[in-house]
Amino acid sequence: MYLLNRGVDPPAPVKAIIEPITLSDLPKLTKKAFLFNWKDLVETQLWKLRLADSKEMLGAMSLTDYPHEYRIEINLIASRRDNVGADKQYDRIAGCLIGWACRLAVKQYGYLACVSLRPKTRLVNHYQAKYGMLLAGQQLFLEGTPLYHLIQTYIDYEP
Amino acid sequence: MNLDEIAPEEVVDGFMVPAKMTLEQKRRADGQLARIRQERFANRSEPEKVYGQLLQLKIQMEDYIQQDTFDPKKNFAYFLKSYIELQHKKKAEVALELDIHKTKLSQLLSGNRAPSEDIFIRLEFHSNRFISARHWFRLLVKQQENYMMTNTSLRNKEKKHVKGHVAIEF
Repeated sequence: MYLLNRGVDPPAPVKAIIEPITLSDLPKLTKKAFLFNWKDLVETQLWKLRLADSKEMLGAMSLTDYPHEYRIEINLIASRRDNVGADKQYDRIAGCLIGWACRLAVKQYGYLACVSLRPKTRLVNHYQAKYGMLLAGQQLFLEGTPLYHLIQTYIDYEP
Repeated sequence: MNLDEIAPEEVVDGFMVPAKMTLEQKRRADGQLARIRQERFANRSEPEKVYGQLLQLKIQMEDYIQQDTFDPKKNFAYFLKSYIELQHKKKAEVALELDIHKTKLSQLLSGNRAPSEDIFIRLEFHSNRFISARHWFRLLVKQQENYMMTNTSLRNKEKKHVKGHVAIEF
């Protein structure tokens, strides 16, 4: 799995790792650094993304598993405050984290796997365009081929 | 920082910003999603299902290879059995496709015969290169490593052959 470092010319891939957030990470998961109140999400599955050669969290994700529906819901994904907007250094943070949620879903539920999210209305079209997500009323979801494609693009593919 | 002031294309590259919904709205949305998934599922093709199962097996193999602990149940035979079962094929048919005798396949599946590199490579091509020979090989390495490190009688027997050792202190 890799991020695209735009801080070098030309932009270059850089190896990234996703792993569970530990108790020692929690004090760093602040609203100041990651723009949202994560305290309400401590009971959910929390994952962090970091560069392979750094311990610093670059992104964080909250998931809820619904085993009876073979579904994992993405509650929230956020990049660190200093990596936001047009001037950010690393691309693909959300893609890698969404791809990771898809991988977790396939590992547990095989061909029945589904990943869903409830994004803000103004962003719905953009998530669909960028990640091939499908629309189900007020939610977006991934399953079958689009879900497998995201794993291939963001998790398995090595440049 | 206000994400509403940032271009949506940039936001979706780094965030999944949730909409605010009441519990009732969430309940209705989940019902709608379940209905749509049910309709789509009825139209799912068999190859797409097999792909999902194969991907699940590959991920399970990768995670098991990565983990530090050894699980005696999850040996080469365990994953080979899963690989064959997900294709809904008879063992004799798979043996034919791999060009090995069906007795040899049975021995591999029972764990009574250790696989060799030709089997790993044939399995890679059999899966259309989806699961590499390296995955199968590493399962065997994990088994061998555990055997080497935990077989007391073998270790004691080999220890007797060692007539000298490096002097170390700390």
